[in-house]
Amino acid sequence: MKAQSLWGLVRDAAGRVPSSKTAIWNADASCTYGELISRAQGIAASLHEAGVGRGDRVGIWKDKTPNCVQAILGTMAAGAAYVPLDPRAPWRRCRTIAEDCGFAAIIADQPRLASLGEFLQGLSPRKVIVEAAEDAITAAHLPPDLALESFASAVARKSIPLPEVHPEDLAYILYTSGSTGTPKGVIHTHLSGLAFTNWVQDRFAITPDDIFSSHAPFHFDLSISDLYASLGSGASLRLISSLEGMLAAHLVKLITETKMTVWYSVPSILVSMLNAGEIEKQGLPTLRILFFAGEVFPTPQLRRLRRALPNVGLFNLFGPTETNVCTYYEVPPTIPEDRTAPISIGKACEHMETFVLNDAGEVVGEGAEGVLWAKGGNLMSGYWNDPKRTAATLVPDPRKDSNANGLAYCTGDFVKLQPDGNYEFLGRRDHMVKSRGFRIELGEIESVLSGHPEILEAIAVPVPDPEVGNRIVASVVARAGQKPDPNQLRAHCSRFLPTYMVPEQIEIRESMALTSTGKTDRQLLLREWQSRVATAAAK
Amino acid sequence: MSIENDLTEFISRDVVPEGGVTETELLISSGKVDSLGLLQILGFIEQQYGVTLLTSGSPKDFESVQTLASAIRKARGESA
Repeated sequence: MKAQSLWGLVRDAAGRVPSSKTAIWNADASCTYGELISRAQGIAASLHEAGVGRGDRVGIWKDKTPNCVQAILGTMAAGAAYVPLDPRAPWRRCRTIAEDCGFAAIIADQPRLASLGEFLQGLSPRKVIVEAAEDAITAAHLPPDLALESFASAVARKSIPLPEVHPEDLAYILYTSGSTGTPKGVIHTHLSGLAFTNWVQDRFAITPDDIFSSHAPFHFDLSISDLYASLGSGASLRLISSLEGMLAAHLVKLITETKMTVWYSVPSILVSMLNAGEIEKQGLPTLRILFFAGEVFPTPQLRRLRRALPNVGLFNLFGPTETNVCTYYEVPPTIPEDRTAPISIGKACEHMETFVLNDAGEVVGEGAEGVLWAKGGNLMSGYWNDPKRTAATLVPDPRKDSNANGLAYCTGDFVKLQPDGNYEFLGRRDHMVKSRGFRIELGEIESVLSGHPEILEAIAVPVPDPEVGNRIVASVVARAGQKPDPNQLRAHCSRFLPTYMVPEQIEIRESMALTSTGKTDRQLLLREWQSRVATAAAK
Repeated sequence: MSIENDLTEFISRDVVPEGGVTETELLISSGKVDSLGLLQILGFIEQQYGVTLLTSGSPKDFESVQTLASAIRKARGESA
């Protein structure tokens, strides 16, 4: 029988491989399949005893380690959904998510202790599991009535009989940048997580012999395939820390030394790895599949990658967190020298359906531009705590004269169907941009900047960049009589936003650039920033 | 001034103004330096010494001021 949950998928795979086989490792620690399952069951027993189960949300606020994966699987084994918090993000942003989500439990680690007390104020989790030395926990002055347990004690618990997890139960919620200033939670059930994972396993013939990379952080949707396509197949998974993840030459060495077979990351890090000159030098003979996603891969660099790795299957996986992945494209053996246009985002995954609608809501065919819609098993079930937004984006199949049932999701991406049946990506229809593969709503940055007492108005500007997708800068107008310091404004942003959303530069303007109709002239701001960047580069 | 002194001064002034750092103190695993701080340090190293540790460095190079200084010397072809 096929697994009914992501937890069941991993547990079943663990039963098919020797329990001493390495499941996960990083630079400092490793864990076998036997340990993974028994320690996850310990966490599940601890959560279950505290009354945490089906439908509950558990915040995972930990560095990316084998123990963190045990916490994630233990949460799902208890029947609850995990909500990964970015351990590098300011704690206030994580706290916003905690308030939105209403955590029944939180699993944290030592680097979080300094802010955990403040983080927990006013929240009432039924359980807090902390991985830290006892004296560090005592020194953190956590609320006295907290149901606290050490991670070591939780993972050592004996497994207890637990209710089976249902496919329709919540599996995880991933928070992405929200246009109104607060992050929004994308809900996936075990059913949608499994639909996507099973597709990856089948389509790319994943076996227990595979060795996967885990480059993306766990709050990023690329992690879903990393975690479950690997552990759900009895393969091994090498976790890559955020520091390691930035060190291009080190990463190439890591692929070689660990005999990695499957790599998945955003293009920008692959471009750095190419620029470090190491991919060509090392050749990566064990690699058989390289997935990239999250942003457009600059064509000249992709051509270089294609040449450097002629025997590796290169795949562009496309889709927002809401769809896991909805289309994909296999990069052909050669990319013509004169091609500058970005490569295609491909066709719908075999178990998904996609179509393109124009402004009038009509299905358009080859050569016509429109917005991409997706239908099928990979779709989210909605946004947490936001039925209005859910109803606006996840709608009954809108195609006229169609008898098709079921919900469809509007991706908001402009595409054009090419003669070969693949989609060409044209751009976004809103203010969402990508930088280093991260999804950024400019409105969220603008809302934080406008929240500064000296700022009247703020506009975040994405300046296209061949290496990282976009560099984020901002133009602001100060309140009367105020002279804000750009460095202090950046520091203000870093209290509320993750690093990749903090504007690299901020200019203080007398007034905002406006179009003839009185709207903010974002195009003019962009041109001004581009000429400034070009002047700086020429110096 | 040695590379160690320059780095300690820069990090204590611009990256970890509360408390500063010593030459041997762990930067990342202690939680004192986050990813934003790391980028600041890398920018400083690139500007001061013309060394891009982001492309050539290994995680061990980032443990402390001392290991960073050795990595900079190594990248410049000096004896570490």
